[in-house]
Amino acid sequence: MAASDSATAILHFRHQTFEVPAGMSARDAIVRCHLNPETVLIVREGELLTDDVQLQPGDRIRLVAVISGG
Amino acid sequence: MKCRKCSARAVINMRQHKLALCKTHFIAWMQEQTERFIHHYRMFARDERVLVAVSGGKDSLALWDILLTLGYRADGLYIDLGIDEGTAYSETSYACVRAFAARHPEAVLHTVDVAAVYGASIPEAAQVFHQGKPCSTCGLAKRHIMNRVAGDKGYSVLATGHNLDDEAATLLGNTLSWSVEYLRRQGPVLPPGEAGLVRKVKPLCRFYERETAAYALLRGIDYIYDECPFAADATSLRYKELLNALEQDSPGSKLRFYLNFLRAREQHPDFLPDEAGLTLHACPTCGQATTNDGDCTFCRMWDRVRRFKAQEVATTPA
Ligand code: SF4
Ligand SMILES: [Zn+2]
Ligand SMILES: [Zn+2]
Repeated sequence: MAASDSATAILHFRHQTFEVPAGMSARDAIVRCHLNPETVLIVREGELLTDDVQLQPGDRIRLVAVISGG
Repeated sequence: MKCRKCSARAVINMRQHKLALCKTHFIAWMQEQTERFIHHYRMFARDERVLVAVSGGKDSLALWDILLTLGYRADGLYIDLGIDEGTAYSETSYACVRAFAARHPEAVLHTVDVAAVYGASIPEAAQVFHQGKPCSTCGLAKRHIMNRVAGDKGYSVLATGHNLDDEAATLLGNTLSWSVEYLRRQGPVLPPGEAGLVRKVKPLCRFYERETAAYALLRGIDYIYDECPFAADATSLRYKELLNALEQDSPGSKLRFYLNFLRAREQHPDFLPDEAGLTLHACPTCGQATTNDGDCTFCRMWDRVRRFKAQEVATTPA
């Protein structure tokens, strides 16, 4: 993806990293990364967030996968 | 988004309930709801001793945490399956379980090391018995060992951490194949009898997987995040994906799928009638109930595995 600049937020999911424009909601960002919002939790600086939160420039978000198999 | 109860910042929004809650109220809600389900489905009483099957994953540790917080007499059972495959899966999951148990001196942790007790790890046994992925071997062994430990140690109830996503995925699988025998038995409570002497219960069966994960996270429970290396292409994961795709567009789909199934079965007993009971015998080797003549499948498996290993030793040049 494009080199990071201050107008973007970074999403980490398992071993992948996505860069999205800041200002969009976490839910829209997750969908944009082709993930299903039902299957992740959103963590920013150790805090759990609801998916209506607007991503700020420079945000680093960890998406915690919640689905397990077996 | 604000908490429905106190208007502090919400940490989770449960679209299927149209309910957003802050950390404090979400934790309390999970505990209250669990208590409600325990009563509603008549899972167990206050004075019963409950054995919780803990894998080190978020669900089973969340369940153990909730039961202890609610004041139940809940002990843990960890079965060391000996799964490594370069991921140290069993080792890491056991470390999570031990760390949790260390924080709860009021509870006992029982451990069964499969390789030490039976002579081979689950992946080794599976090579001999089921040839291929070890999940059937693993399931068979876990069921047997849970029954045995619960019986031996005097627990009347065995609780597992199955969540709604697990149950809905199983239901979808059983429906796609019209496995009537399984559809008849699937539910929050499996009475003692055919599957062993203890009652089996699933107190978390109405929570979404997202909620049990959020609970574990918010409670600071260290759980094993990575999958068992054999789960990678499990069919159940495909079913969960399908159900979550429905859920994304129509919140509450997977919950309705499961709850309406339970309701339909209750309201229309002819829909899945109880069959004339299977004839059960006690296995001559281990004593557990089986439909086999002679030894149960579990005992046959280990017999074969041990004979195979003995042969291997005998034919290996020194
Ligand atoms: S994925 Fe298969 S082998 Fe791994 S723990 Fe589950 S049932 Fe056992
Ligand atoms: Zn609140
Ligand atoms: Zn037996």
